[in-house]
Amino acid sequence: MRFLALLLLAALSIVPLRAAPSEFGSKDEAVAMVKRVEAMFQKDGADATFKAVSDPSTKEFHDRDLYVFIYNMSGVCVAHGARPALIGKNLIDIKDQDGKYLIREMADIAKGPGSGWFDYKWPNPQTNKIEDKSSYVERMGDYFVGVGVYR
Amino acid sequence: MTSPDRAVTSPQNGGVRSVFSFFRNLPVQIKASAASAVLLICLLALGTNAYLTSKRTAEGLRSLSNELIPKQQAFASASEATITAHMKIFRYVSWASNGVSDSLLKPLYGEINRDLDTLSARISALAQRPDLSSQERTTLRELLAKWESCKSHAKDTIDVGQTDAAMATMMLGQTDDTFEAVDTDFQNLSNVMSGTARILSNKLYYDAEQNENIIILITLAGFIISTLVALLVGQSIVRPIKSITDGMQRLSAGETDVQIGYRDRRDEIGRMVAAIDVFRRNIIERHAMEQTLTEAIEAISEGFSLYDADDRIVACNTRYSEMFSYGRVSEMIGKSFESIVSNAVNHDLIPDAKSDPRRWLAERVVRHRDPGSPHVQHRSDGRWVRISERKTATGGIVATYADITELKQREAELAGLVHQLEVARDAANEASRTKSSFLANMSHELRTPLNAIIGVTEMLREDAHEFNRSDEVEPLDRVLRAGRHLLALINDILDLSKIEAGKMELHIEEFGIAPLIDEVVKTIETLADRNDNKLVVACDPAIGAMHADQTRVRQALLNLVSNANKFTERGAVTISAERHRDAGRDWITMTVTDTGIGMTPEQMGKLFQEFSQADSSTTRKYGGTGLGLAISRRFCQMMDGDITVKSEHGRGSTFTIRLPAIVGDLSSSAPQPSLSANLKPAASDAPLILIIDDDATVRDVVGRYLEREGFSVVKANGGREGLSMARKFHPAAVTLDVMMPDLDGWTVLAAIKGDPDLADLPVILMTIVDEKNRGYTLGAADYLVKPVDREKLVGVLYTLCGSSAGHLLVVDDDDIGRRQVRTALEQRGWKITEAANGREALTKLSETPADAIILDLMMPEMDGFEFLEEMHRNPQWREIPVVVVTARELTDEDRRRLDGGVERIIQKTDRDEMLHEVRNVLAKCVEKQRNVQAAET
Repeated sequence: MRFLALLLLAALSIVPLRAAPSEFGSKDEAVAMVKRVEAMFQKDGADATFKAVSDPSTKEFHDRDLYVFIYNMSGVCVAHGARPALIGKNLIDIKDQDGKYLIREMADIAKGPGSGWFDYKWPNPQTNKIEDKSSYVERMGDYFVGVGVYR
Repeated sequence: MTSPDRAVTSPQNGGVRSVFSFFRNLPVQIKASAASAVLLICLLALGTNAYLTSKRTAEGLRSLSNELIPKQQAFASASEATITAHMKIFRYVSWASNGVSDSLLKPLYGEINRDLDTLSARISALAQRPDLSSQERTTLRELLAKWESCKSHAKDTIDVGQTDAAMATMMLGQTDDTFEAVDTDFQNLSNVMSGTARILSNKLYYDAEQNENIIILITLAGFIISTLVALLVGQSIVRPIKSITDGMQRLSAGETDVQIGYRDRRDEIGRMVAAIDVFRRNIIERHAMEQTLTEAIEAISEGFSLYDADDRIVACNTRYSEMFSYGRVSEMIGKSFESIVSNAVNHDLIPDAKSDPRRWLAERVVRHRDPGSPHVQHRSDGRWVRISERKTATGGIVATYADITELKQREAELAGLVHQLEVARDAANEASRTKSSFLANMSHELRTPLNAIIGVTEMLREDAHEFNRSDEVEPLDRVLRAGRHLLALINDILDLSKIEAGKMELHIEEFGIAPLIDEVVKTIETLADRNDNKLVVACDPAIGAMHADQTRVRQALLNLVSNANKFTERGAVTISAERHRDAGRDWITMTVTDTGIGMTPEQMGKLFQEFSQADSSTTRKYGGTGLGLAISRRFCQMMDGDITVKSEHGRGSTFTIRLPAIVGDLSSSAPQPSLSANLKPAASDAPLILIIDDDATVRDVVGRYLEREGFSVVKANGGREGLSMARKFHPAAVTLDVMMPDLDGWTVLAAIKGDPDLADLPVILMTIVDEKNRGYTLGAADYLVKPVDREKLVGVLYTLCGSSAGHLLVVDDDDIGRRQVRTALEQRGWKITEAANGREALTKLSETPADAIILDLMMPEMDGFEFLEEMHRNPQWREIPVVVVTARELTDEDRRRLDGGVERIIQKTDRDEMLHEVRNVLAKCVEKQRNVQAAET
């Protein structure tokens, strides 16, 4: 198993490093997007929000490398702005390259402080490369919603 | 291991000792059984243990191979399958990331999905296996849960990988983790199972190890115990048996003093040793027996040999071996009879075999094998051997060879001697015959003239009495006395000379004792009267008969009684007889006791010597020859008896005759047929006369006289008693007195004649009253006037009783003898015819038949013997009774010649006695003849 993990690491080391900053959203923009999602969640309800968030044509929730992701407290992805394949999948056990249980910790932030920043590694949809990412996460009902920035 | 012996002597451990002692005394069978039992128990323990162990091992192995291994294999293959699935997922993500075409990715996607589903089914199947332990089940349940999440991660990953390779790569980490968890669980499961297997195998190993120890322990214990038992059994069986075997070997080698131990043991060994000891003692006894037998055979005075059924010699003695020229007995043993005898023939030991050795030998062997009576063999050394051969029960032959050479010589000598003896015997017989005939003739020659002298003198004396020539009576009396004394002397001397010459013969016959004594008493009564002696007879009438020489017994008793009367005056003479048993036979003693002069001891000493009376003067005073007692005693001694005497001077004497009741041996010497047995003097035979008289003197005088004349007498002292006695006794005749105080004779006569029972009874009246007519009228048979003439009375009585009257032929060459008989018998009514010799007698007999004959033996021309023979040829005369009266001493041969032909033999010794006897005998003869005639008609 460990052997397999090493192989995996070796395979991932070929991924190239970050893009130019101008074309990337800022942290504030990420928080603002979260606030919009919450507003819509408050206003339009969960289903509509989830649909809007997952639809790439909804500009309000898609801005350059910024997108929204919503998970319930069990780690099941209910809406995802960049990777629709993940919707419906439970990702509570997923780890990043550093071995961080990112979904579990984000859920912990939502359950505990209710909102916060969280650093981890995640593929950038624009480059399709795994990059360092900081996401703002906030509790939203039984769910938590987050938007991250690639650094 | 200590030997039982040492255990016995070991003092320190009594328990062990008693156990050993107990074990030693157990029967061998039990010992062997005990040993087998111990071994069996060891084997059983080993077997049981091995069985249980192998069963346990088999179970363990079965669970290993049937449960653990397939289970582990199932887990391992499931684990393998998960790894394969994991690799495929990794390959898929890798392929998706590196842009492998969909045509390749799609089949892999489907394959992974199928694999995952298959794995799900496999793992849930694993979790449902029935052979799972609870831990495994828990682990598997967890594993199944983990697998489900793993599976969902995996499916998510490849699902995402279809469209988003980067994300799939991102999600691989999550898949890896869950796969890793599943893998760990599988690892755990494997560990658990290997733990179980290890525990199981450890247990098996431990079991095996323990089992090994047990086996070693049991084997060791079994080995030790069986070694112990084997040693014990060996000690208690093998050692004694070795000792017994050794003892028996020595015993069979002839060592009879062998002592075998273990006798006190109570098991089979002890019994075996006891049996061997008996066996040993038997051998010793047999040895001793054999030794004794050999010595006995050696000691036999004859040559002895024993051949077996194959005719080989088994045993013999030195005498036998010497007879066949063999040096030692041992050289002969085993040789065949044929070889032994042929060896003897070859050595010329047997002269008989010389002429034809082969034939002789063949005959000898045949004779040996089928032995008959003993035969005699002559040997070349001049000796004679008598050979006795007998078959034994087993078919062997026993032979004795007796040297009879001396016997043969003796035989020859004896034959010579026998011849000499025969000559001597003939000579002696001749001498004896001469002597016997001399003695017989001499007695006749001496007595005949003396009888003539006495007879003539008696007649002269009677004539002198009759014609009152009293001056002649006295000298004639002296002649008579001298003559009688001489006659007695001659008789005694003849007896004595016969005894001395051993010529005296006994004539044993059976006779009544009481009648004999009566006879003697009657004979002696006159003498007793003369000396005024009372005769007392004390004799049990039931004393019965004795078997002896009657004449000699009477003679001896007469001698004693007459002596007693001679030497006693006015006293009593008692005769008693009794029978008693002594020394196995009956004895008769007759005792004569007198109250006479008695004897001094000196006189008694000379008493039984011939020719000596107590005092020589007694001969003169008392008469007698002095021979009587000596002769009587000799007679008694000849009959195995004796005469003894007890006496006191002046007080009297007691003489005792002691005789066996049966003289001689009845079986060896048949008694002489009795000549006089049928004429035993018996009172009942005589006619009974009843004397009725009140005068005792008349009764006694008449009674005694009649008794002497041969009548029986009963006496009554008066008329009444007379009548009752007449009714009681039915007498032949009655003499009746007339003048009696109670009933007179007439009345009695009338009563008798009036009684139908008594009417025929002849009555003779004897009275001083002369009333004959009255008497005859009343029916009296005769009438005699007192003083009664005795002869006339007797004549009358004989006529009345009819007891004697007939024709008598007197045959005697001595005319004096004939005249005496005629005088004595004519008055009894006998008609007498005389003949001087046998021939004349035969002539007279043919002229006038006689009722009886009196015969002398020694006569000229034809003697008594010849006359008897002639007479008996005529059947008419054969029945005539003959009374022999002879002076001759009869020999046995004479008696044999007379036997059966004569009624009675009377010795001419004393005239009165002789005549008395003749009268008696004749009376009986006639009576008998009448009875015979009556019976015939």
